[in-house]
Amino acid sequence: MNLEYFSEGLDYLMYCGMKLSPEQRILIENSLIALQNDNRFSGMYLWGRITATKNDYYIAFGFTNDCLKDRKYFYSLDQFQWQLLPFVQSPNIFQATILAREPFIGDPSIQTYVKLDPTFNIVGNQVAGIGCPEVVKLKEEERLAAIVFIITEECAICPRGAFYKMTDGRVIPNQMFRGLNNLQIDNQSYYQLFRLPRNDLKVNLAKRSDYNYAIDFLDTIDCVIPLGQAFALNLQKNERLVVIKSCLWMGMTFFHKIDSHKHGFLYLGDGKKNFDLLFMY
Amino acid sequence: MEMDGDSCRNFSLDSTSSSQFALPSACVPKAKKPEVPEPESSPHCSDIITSSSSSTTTISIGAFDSQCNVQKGSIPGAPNIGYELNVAKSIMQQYSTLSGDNLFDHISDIIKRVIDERPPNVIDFFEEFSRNVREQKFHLPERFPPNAVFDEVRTFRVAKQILQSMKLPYTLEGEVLDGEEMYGEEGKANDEDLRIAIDDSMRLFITFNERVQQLQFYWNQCGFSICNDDIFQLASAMNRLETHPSIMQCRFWGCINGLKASYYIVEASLTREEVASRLVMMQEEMREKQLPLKMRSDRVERPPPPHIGPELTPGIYGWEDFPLEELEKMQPKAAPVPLVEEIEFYDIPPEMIGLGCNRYSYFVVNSLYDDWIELPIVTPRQIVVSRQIKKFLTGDLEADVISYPCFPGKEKHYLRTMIGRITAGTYIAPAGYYRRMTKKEQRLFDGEDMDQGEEEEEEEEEEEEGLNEAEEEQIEDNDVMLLKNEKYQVEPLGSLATPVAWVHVRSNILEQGRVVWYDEEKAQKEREKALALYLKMQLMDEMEEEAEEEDEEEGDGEEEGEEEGMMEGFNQPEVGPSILSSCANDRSAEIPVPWLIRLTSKYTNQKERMLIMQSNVWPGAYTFTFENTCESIYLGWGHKYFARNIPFKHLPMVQEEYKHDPEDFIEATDPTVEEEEAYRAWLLRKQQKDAYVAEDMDDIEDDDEFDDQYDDAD
Repeated sequence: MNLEYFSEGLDYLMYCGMKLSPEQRILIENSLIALQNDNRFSGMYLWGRITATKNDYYIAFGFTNDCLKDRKYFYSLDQFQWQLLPFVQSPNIFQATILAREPFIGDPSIQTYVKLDPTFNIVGNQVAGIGCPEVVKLKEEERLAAIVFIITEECAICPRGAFYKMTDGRVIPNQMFRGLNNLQIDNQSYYQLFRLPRNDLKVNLAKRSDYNYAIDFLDTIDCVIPLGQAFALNLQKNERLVVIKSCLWMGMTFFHKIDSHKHGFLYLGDGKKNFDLLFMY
Repeated sequence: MEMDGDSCRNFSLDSTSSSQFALPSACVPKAKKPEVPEPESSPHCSDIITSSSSSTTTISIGAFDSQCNVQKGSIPGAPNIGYELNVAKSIMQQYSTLSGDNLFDHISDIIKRVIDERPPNVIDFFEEFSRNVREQKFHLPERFPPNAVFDEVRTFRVAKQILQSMKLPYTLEGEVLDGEEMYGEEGKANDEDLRIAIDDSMRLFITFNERVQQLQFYWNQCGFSICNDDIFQLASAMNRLETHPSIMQCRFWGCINGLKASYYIVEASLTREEVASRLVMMQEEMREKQLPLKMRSDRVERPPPPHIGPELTPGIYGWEDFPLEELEKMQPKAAPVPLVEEIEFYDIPPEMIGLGCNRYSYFVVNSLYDDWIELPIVTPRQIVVSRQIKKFLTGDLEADVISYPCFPGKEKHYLRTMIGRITAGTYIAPAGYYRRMTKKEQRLFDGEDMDQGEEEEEEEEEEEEGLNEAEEEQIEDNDVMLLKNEKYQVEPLGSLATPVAWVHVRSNILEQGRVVWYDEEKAQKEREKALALYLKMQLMDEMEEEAEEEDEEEGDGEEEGEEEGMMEGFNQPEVGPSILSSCANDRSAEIPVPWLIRLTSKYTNQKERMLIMQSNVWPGAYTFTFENTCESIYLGWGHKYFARNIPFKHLPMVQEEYKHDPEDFIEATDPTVEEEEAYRAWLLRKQQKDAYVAEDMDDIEDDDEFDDQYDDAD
């Protein structure tokens, strides 16, 4: 959620039932402003909170030039001292993060052991051999970084037109964005995933007749699998506010105020994926 | 076409006339160019549009010409800057044949907007900005009535509903309303008197904090709440509910998110009269349900279906030798048509209204301006099944719950079970905050109930209660309503910040799905006894049907014997943690830490900080405490925590659904060629005979059909 309209955004996000207590709000808002100043970020966002048993993690991110490519993530346990989240590349860590059963503890240096799923060698439709399940050492800090990355990839949302791709390939917030209107607001194809696009540009453009190269390069949420089940869209506040909740990562909430540039997402949850989604409709 | 041609001609004529002034040669074809496609496009457009666009172009061209003409007088033949500018301007001002717009106006609009609004970094978004300006230009006329239709605003419908829900007194019908209001006030006064009269005895038992706006302050401090805009509406909606005569007290329970809408839920306890009147109805129904099948009067004997599928042919070889009359009487030699068998199945009865899981009623709305809808009571089977499934609520109370194992009920039942389970699991308070009722209070609480109930239901109630009390005396105290402890000593938050200091304040729901254990086996025996008695009575009545009845009796004996065998596991009364047991004993297989303890402010404001207990087993369930206030609320999806995924029950193997023995399917050899030949010969002979006898045509047709059938069967 953008720091520019922090408390307003928090009020809108109350439609998911959760928000921050006054102390947390003051601490986070001001320490993030300081963080933005220290790092010379052009945009600063509160990403959310991951509940842990001892201390909760608060996550924020900022960017200087490109709001998709050079985001820097920070985490904080005490809501005012922010540390850089490590950048995770190893696929093993990601797999272990997805498989980890235990809740987060709240101590970034703690290490847990996660048993990965066994690997199967399949030859001609027959299981030829089963590999021994690998045990991965998982540091909580890395797990946190991985889970933040995965959640952002899968369900961070922005309205169509809120981000603008410049001719040099950089993506920046669209200053001209005036918000979605009455007719567009309850249509899932007007909301995009706030991540580097995975679909081909042509695919994304071909989805709509009024495409715009500078805007429609992001993937839209109506194509997220399971189709039509990954997000729940609601209109609130005399239907002036759209709230989209992710069904895959419970706790991810997105809001957008109709006909205004105000939008944002916040994750308040325990960092557990809803694996039962397909059985729940 | 002709007209357009004319305009073209006009235009070219004019331009040639202007070419006298040594127009740069490049300009003329350019000026012509946009005009050329028009005749192509115009046939596709409707007449009106073509004519209007062409007329505007001609007019504008005329204006341009006149401008040129004016300048023609003042400027001599040599090229100069003013003339060049005019030419450039005229190029820019050429009207688009498609939109009727021109570049000059557009650029001036953009410049005006940029200077007026001063958007930052406009150069980076120039394309977008330009598109925006143009878009708004097109939209502009529509927005202003009276020329355009006024589009109903999206919010209007909601606004109207909100206003309606508030039941504002309109001044328009002042006089009439005044009288009514007077009457209404009197009525209200009476009501209040009545309420007070009732309340006096029940005031002691009001434990709910119904002031949501006050609680909202605490919730806001804690960091979870419903929206500030909604809280006033919630307060007034709850006020509407509270003033209903059948409701004693109510409190805000929380919110459960749905896919399309979320539910606001209010927990209420009904007045004694309401409970009593419902109890009468419910007991009737329960007794009906617990009756053995054979005793139910409403059971209608369904006639067996006459046949299934095509008629089977009489199956003995050589049947064709029989005469027709005998053939008609023959029974086809095939397995009898299977009939639906009724299996005796008794649910564990739900707890009576005002007891156990159904102690409180729950009212829900999707939006706070709607009327409250009461949720149905919860049955043990619903609770048991709901523990095996995990579903999203849709926001529609009547929606089906599609699941395996099949959930017995609609979404409202599912919602009700979830509420019941969450309440039972997550309602906690500091030790000593609540206390049990004293015996005197208990009598006061129950006593009047009994007096009223006894008028009609005396015997049954006593019987039932006697029955219950006899076996459940040791665990009966689990199902009680707690009262606030007046002598509660406020403890410092530091000592409360551990689950040991907290106790559960709502009754635990057993595996069986009830708070008070129900002895199914005993009920079964009762049923058997009742059935035996009933059958004996019948026997005495109808002596001639003796034999059949005996058969049935035997059959029943067997059935029930089986059931008894199945029920053996239930012999021992099931025991769960009792009410007011410590939270430190909570165990969950899924999560090692069932409760999270948080302070609203960690670093500052030590005096006014609150303590929050957050349930990990039911994410979204919170309890806060501050001095003398302790409240629980649930804001979430209504899902229990699972470390990875819920172990769904698998579907049984397909073959198990229809069990069969080898003799159910009897194989027969196909008729040989000779047999078929013999059949055909016989048929032919018969036909000839028929023709010879010269009966109706119908008969022959019948035979033909028969023949066809046989061939098909081959």
